Amino acid sequence: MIKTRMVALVLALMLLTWGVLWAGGGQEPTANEDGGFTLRIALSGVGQFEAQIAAFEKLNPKANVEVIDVPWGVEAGRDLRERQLLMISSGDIPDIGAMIWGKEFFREGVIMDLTDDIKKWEEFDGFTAGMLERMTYNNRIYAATIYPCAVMLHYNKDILAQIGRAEPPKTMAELADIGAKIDAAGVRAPNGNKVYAMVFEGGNWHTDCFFWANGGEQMTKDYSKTLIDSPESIGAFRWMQNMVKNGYAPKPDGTYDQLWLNNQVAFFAVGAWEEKPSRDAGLNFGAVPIPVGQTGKNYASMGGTELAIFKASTHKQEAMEFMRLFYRKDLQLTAVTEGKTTLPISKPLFDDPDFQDYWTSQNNLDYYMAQKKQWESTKYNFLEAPFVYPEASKIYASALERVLVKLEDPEKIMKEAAEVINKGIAQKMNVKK
Amino acid sequence: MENRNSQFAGDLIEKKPTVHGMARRSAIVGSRMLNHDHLFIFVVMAPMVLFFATFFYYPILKNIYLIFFDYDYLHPPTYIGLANLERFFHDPVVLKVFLNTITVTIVSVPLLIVLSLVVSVGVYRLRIAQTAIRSIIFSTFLTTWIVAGITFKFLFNPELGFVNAFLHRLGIGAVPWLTDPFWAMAAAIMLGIWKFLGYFMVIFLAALYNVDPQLYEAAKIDGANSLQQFFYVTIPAIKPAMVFVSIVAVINYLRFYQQILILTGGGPYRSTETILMYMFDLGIKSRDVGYASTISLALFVVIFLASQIQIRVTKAYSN
Repeated sequence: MIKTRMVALVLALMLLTWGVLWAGGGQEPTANEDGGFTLRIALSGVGQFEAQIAAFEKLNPKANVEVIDVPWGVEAGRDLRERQLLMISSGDIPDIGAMIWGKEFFREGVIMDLTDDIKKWEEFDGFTAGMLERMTYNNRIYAATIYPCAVMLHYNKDILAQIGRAEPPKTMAELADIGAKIDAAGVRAPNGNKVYAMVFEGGNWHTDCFFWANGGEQMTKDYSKTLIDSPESIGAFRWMQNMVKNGYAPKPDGTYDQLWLNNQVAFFAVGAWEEKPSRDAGLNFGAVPIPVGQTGKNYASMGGTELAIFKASTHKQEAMEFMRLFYRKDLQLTAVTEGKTTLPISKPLFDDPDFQDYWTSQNNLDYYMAQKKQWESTKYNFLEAPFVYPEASKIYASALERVLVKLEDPEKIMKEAAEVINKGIAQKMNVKK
Repeated sequence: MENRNSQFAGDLIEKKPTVHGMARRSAIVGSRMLNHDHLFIFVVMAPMVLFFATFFYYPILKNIYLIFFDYDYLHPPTYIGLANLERFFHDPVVLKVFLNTITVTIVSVPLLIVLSLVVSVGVYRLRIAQTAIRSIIFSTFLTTWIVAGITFKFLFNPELGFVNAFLHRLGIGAVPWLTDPFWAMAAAIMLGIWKFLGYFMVIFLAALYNVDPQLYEAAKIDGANSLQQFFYVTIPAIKPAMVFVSIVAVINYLRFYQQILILTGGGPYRSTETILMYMFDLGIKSRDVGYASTISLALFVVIFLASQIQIRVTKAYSN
């Protein structure tokens, strides 16, 4: 009898709990009767947004910006994306989301089409082709890119000086020649360790610039098929593998910029975010656009974050107003001079006297002019966070490791990887249809 | 007459309580007490019941429910029957990541038990600075996985890590930590042992302090040397602690995740990827919640079976 009562009690408590949770779920009202409203933003690193939030609240005295600040996560914004997914599935949807998975969300119909609005912005002409590629899906603009940043070739001036060179390479062939010279000269770092010419750390962000330069492509134009096994791509993978085989580059071990920061590598293909750590490490360094390959062209991954508006938002106009603040010159200048970010968002601002004066005062005008130059030839890094068949990024990363660490035949490995990726994409696309 | 008798009988019952009457009275009092007990139990249990119902039982039930559905967070779940289970038995990656996880577990758990037992006996026998040394060894357990993972990554860096520099001084060639599947797995195992050693040492120490000193005295009188005392007195006496440690260690290692994620990211070429990493990737990155739930249930079954086997084997061994 007592047992029965206790079981009934426990069950009643469980039901009560779920009832309370059920009733308590859902979205809080975000508009008040006095015209005040709350704009909710799910982002990562609120420091980069503070100036815009303050400006927005100043322009809209009745507005309150509520920030849901989530750590970015170990790979491709994993933690922030997870939080946004959970918010969507629980019905507690913010107005704006910072993301690099906008194509996925737009394809799934959870964020708004902003084409007509953004095309009317006078800042629209300042978007580069690489930025537009990031914020577009099926010719529709679904977001605005902020904090764009392209990979460029960083070089260590002291190491080059040891082989009697002042200029960094302009071609991939030249880069390999420098590797041979460094190896032959037996250049050593201050800590006595071997110096390498190049390092392929950090995943495909730091390698794909070479197969683009070689005429390779990650994907077909409609992203339905990968081309990592094309002859041009294979040629570039072979070039990278030979750099490792010849001892011009170490096997990637996941320690990212450690060799670069320890004066143990002459070149590192990396974004402008590496400028401050390099300076802090006391490196004597510079940066130039990525060397050209057999096509005579160079390309780099265009990074950044997109701001998109969720379809459930009832504050579209206010959200658009907030997003546009990121393109205001005074706020961009403040963000750069206060160290909240390294680059302006609008390309024309690279030529703005205020920005140039600031960079000159910091002795790194050339560095940022190289970034400006690289912005002219960038590509969207689909395989960083594929919006169809997300496993593709892991399959590709694993194939890259087999080529650069296990030193297996690039053609065989990339064909195998491409087959699995293409099969996965086809399956996902069929499900969607 | 009958009424009088009845009344008389009633008086008797009132004045001289029978066994039956006592039972009834105690039942009434007991019932009141039971109500009070009920209230007390209700108050005491409510928070934990609510906690477990919300964070354990509901997710488990939901997990089982989702196995039969295709769910991606963004659309309502679609019933797909046993498709996820069928996929589970044909997925080559599942086999690979389960094997990685089991390898880590099989190598780490015995190593960890032996090492922590040896260290705990050593600390137990210390006559000076015992508390300080115990605290130093235990402090590794207080380090977060992220800090420990990043530190080990730098230590094992093949080019400029401390470990290879040390080996170089000993005249040993560079070990390809993190770039070779075998050595990457070894580094992950070392990280796990470094982290858990202090925790298990404390458990063994607590067990050692509870061993009756008279047992050692008796063993000494019987002529047992130190090694014999250890195997015939200490080990049997701390067996419950060993069972506890082995079960906890197996569960922890089957759920090996953060340390691998930070140290190797599952690489090189997925050679150190564990079942939990694969499950999270499917559930979050690929939004394949139904299939991730299937893997989660499979992991639960494996952990449950492993624990049961350990308990039964230990019991059989004891008998």
